Amino acid sequence: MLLAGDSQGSFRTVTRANIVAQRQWTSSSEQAYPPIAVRRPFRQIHRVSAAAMRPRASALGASNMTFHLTLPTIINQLVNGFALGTLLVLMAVGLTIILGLMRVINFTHGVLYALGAYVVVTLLPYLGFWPCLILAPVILGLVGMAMESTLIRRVYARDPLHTMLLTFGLALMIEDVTRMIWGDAAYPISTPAVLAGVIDLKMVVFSKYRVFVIFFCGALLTCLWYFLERTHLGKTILAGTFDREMVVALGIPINLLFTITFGIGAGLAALAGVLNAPIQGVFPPMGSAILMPCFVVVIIGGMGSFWGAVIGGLLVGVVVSFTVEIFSAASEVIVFVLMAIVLLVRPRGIAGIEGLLE
Amino acid sequence: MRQAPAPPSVRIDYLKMMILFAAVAALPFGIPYMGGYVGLAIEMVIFAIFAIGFDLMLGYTGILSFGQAAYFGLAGYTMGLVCIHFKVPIFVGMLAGVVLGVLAAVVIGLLIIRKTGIYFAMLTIAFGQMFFFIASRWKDVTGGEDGLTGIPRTIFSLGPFSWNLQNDLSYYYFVFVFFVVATLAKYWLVRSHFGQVLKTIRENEVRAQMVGYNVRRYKLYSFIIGGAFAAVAGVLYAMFLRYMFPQTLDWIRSGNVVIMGLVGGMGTLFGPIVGAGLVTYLMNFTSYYTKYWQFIMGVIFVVFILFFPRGIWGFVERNRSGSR
Repeated sequence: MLLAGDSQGSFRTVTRANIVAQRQWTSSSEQAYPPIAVRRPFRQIHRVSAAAMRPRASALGASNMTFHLTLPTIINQLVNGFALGTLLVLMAVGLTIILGLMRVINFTHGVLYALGAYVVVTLLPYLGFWPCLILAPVILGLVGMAMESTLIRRVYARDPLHTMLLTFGLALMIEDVTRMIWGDAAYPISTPAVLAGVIDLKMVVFSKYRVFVIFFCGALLTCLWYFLERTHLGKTILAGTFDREMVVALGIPINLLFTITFGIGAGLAALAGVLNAPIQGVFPPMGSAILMPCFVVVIIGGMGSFWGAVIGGLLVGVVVSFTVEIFSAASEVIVFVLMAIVLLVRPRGIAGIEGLLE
Repeated sequence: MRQAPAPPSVRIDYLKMMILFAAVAALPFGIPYMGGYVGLAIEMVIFAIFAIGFDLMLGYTGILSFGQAAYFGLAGYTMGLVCIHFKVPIFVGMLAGVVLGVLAAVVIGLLIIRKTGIYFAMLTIAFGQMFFFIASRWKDVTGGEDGLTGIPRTIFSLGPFSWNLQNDLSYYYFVFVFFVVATLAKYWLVRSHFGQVLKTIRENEVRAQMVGYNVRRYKLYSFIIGGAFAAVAGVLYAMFLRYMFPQTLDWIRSGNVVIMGLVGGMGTLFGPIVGAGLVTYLMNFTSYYTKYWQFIMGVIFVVFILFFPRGIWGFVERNRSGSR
């Protein structure tokens, strides 16, 4: 699955002992992507995606044999898990707020994430990485708002399932649009020079970029929390997730609120795409690959809950990272097992809002 | 079960179904003129069975499962694995596939049936995707990304009865039998007391509860029946390709079934069949001419949602009987 997918390249432990033996993990440019079929007969579409996500078996097999959970390994996997987790949280928070407020499962969330990464592909040669980090979310936020206000808004009056199916159709379209514009091939994105390389603490070695991702996402989520909890607009959005009818009754223009929320969600997804681009590279099915884990995070965390998404995202990230280390073949399935367990113990998810979507 | 006396409309329905069956029976001979081949006809009919089961859930009970491909694929894989490893007759393999598919639907249904609407849909996607990852990563058993090869499609024998399926045309009529049974089964189910309860749940869940029906149990039954149809279709699909691959369990595949139902028209007798046939045909057709067929499918789907949410059949019926 997604981030754990390029296991060798990314979320896999690198200790001093095996750093030489393993491939450099900070740059995706060295990852060998599988050849991509030019013609895609319709039975085989997602073969490419799955193959691109799959860890290289040979790379995993050898070290699995001699696996020991040493302290450096644990620390490293925690860092990897948090880097993966914070990215998932960025995606899931947008998804869960849209879900809570608008009662829509937004299937376009994945393709917006992919488009964010593709903006980097296009703008990187002209602007460099840092302007992209700001520009991509803004551009995709506007795209999301345009999409919401022109297309998705038309079906609100109907069954909420129609809205969800509409976003599913849009997601299918947009994924192929990215293929038309940027082709089927994967683009490696190099890590910005400042963050290239590793932090060497003698005992453990971290990728600078990954540590940056954790702190950047952490800061951003704090800002987002402040926005939602302490500003008037944010409070209104949260109020809408609890009781939409009441918000409407108070005379708040709900359509505007929807558009803004959708824009914020799209921007966050795009930002996650930009941040993930140097780790994993950019390829067309990346959007549909990350969507499923995000759904799981939302379910585990509880529908419509900000803190649920945060806890769920970090939990999924850490669990996936450790599973990649211990038994990599199960690293995708473990997420769903985790989800089933959480649902059995807490049917609403960890922090699900009572009465929402029930 | 209580059965209402047959009004004249029932006879018309049977007449319509006879016409449909005649048309489907003639399909392999007509399809070469539409740029297809017998294999495509087989696929259309298999997906029609799949879509009929899906329609029972969404069109009649109002529960949206977005993970039906899981039971479809699981049944196909099971059938293949049982036949390959135990060298049992095809009939036993098919039975094993369907039983396991239904069992999976029962277990997952029990776990998630108390959720409704979008929450339910999301859980079905997630659990469906679990099967996808099991199929793609459990390489020793399923063959992983390479798929499971060597699924037999030889001679179907059951007691004194035997049928050679190796020829595509003879396999088409084998699938056709299942299609006829599925269509009739759906018709009877929908018209039965059970079907009326399902429709009540679709229209007003709270009221159905108040009247005294155990809504959750009826929804679970509906989910299991939908899973059973999917499992039957999956087994037939595995035999058709003689090959299974993880993407048959993917949520995109589940989404395709939703598209079929919606394009054809949910909650109608013939809608899902028309939708499945049309969508499968279009997918094949467009993927022949452009590699961006997914874009075209997306456009068609979006247009249908925005402008024809009742689907083709719903649109036809509505225009004929005046506006509702």
